[in-house]
Amino acid sequence: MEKKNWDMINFETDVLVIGGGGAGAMAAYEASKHGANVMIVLKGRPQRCGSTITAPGAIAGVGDWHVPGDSPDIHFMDTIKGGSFLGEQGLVRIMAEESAEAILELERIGALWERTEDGKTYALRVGGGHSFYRCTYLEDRTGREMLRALFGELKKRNVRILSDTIILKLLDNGDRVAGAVGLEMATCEMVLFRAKTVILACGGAGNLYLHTDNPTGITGDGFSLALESGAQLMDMEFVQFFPLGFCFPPSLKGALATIPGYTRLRNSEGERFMEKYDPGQMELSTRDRVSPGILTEIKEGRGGPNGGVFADMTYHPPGFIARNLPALYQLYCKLGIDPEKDYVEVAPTCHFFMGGAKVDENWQSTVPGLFVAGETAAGIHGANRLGQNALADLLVSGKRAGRGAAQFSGETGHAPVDPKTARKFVEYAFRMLNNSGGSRPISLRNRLRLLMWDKAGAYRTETGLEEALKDLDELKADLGRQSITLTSGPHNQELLEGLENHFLVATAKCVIEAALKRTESRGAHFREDYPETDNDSWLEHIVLYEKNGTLNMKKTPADLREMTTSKETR
Amino acid sequence: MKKGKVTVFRYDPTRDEQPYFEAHEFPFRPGIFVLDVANHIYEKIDGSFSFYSSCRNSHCGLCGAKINGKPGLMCREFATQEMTLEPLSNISVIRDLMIDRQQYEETMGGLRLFLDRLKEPASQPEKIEREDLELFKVASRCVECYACVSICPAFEENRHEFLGPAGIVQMSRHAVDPRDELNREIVAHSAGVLNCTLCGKCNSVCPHGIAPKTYVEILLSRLKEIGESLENHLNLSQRAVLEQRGSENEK
Repeated sequence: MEKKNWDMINFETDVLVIGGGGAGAMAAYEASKHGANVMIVLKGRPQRCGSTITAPGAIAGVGDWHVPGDSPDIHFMDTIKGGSFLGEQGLVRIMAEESAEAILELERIGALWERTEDGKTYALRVGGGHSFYRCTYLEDRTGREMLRALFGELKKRNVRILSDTIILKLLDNGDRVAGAVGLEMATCEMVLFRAKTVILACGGAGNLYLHTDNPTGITGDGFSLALESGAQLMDMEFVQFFPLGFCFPPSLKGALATIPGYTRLRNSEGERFMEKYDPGQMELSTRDRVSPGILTEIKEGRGGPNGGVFADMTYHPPGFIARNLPALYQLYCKLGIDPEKDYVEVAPTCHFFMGGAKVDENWQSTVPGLFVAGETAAGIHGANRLGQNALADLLVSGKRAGRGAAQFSGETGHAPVDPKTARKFVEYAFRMLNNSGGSRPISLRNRLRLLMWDKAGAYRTETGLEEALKDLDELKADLGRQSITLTSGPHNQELLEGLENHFLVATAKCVIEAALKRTESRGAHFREDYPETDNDSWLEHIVLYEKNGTLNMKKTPADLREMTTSKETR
Repeated sequence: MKKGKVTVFRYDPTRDEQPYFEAHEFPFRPGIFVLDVANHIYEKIDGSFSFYSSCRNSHCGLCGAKINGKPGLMCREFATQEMTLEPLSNISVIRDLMIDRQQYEETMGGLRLFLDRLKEPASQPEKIEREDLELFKVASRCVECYACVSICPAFEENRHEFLGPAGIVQMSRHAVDPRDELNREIVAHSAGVLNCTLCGKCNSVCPHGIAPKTYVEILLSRLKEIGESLENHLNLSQRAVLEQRGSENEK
């Protein structure tokens, strides 16, 4: 398609938030409270994109409503232990202290959390690795309720929302961020943003793996954009597999099938096999133990007909599942499963990236003016995330980043942006529409997802990872030659997929390289050739950064300011 | 694996004079979803076949379509061995199964879809009665897939005088929120709630089991409390429902 290269939509704002999930919406809301002019740009549409809308779980946070004995200190310790001591303790402390206030704040702007029978205070859920019931929720759509409240408030505050727009490159002026360029997918026009600060909140990259519960648009955009802009990433080898993904039908494969707190896991012989892997915590063990347990059962021939194990919810009183997991209950009924009598077959699915941009206590990256919130940032979850801590993380990091960005914007002017240079960064998108003879984005993506699943998934070896690197290089050669069936620009999903593939490939490289470098097993990173956790040499983060177009790595010590593995190791 | 046959609606308004139907084969297996069939066409047959889908698990509301004539989410309905796929009705088609969701979203701009209150919010969790919370929770399940809008005869008849069930449910979430202080009944009146025929078709297609009609009834009875003169404006079925409610209340 002929695209006039002077077509350009232009916006100017103090704070530009990229990403419309919970972290982005929270950051935009918070920045708007602190006097900044805020704009939020989404790849999809409000309340229809991002991982937050799919979150069935709960928000961890210890408020005045806590059960006897619980405290933010214990939430802090649970999180550090769950993350195998790689959680940045300064950041984890902030989450543990500030999460409860954020939970209340969401209610003040319109959400409602489930109450105890008398309606006076919050009903609470527990999650794997949490010592107490401490997580607020609403049915099996806590994330959606969060977004409903946040987007209502953004509308009320007249925060500008730009939908259906993919950001392709962050702009800088050498020493700080200056804006971004992207493509408005509804019109296929270039969009230029001049901004004093940028907040990246693009979620993780679940679509890097064959099976994932992430929505289709979660493709590592934030990791790739941050890296390209000169920011440092860390902990990219830690990818979490959620134990309970559906196995069938194909379009549902990998989607969240239930929540761990309501489930007993059984193999084909009917055994509660978690007795073998974590007899103390059983199914409420951390995900880095439950998922490998399931995979071992399947590998050793004790799986079900669709390659999974069985989630048993039949022990609940009648009506419990229908009341507490209404969306899933509707689905079970549709699938012909009565959760009060039948088991649901489940298998691990790619869920969450613990790694991401390295940030300070305002969630500012190593690039001045570039803030990062939610799953796109690293730090809180270390080597493995506890359930219910993602929603707590995105609220707290969103707030911190939003406030930080507003303050930063108040102290600085706009950096110059050259539209001509900016245009160069989007031209490859227009070129893709005219390519022919290359692979389709969907086939390239399927190749990538399979190779990551097989060679850089839950079990890793040096040989496998080396192969993955080689395969990735071959795949990269095809990346620039992707061609699109539909040649008209507006609303072209295939074009979007092709652009996203660039982000996925950049993210894949980080995951594989870091996984190769970490010669131990810790949290979600399991090396068959190095099965032990090595606290002597690996209480370290692997930091990744780009220099002159090549990916570099260095090690930096974990933040152990409050808590150490044991006295002997430090 | 058996052969399935799907007839799909195709239309690119920027290229085609009018919509047409196209038949494709697909590998049918009992238990696969309609989304599997749509993905199959896109991945294996024709990359220009356009539809939206994001979460695959009924939360994003994007994959709404008419499946064998009935509106629903493609990620929630089983494929049949012979089937037809069309875009939802009553909203413009962008291309194939893609509809212009923004068109409907914009109609909700006047509803003030946020918690509107004067009272200073409490610093700790506020007490919420169980009954209020239940009504709120159900309204809050709406994912705006617009299956209900697609099947609503009042909306089809005159969209300028009735907002349609999806918008009513969105607004009802606030109307039943005990904390909200805005007069939502008047907003409902402006949204044309009196033109709802209470046919209940919306109830039969909601993928999340919300009954939009229930919320219309709540708004109508509250409107009735506000002004008796409203009586003359109610249509027959509305009057019948309110009379029945009245006699239930007397009991």
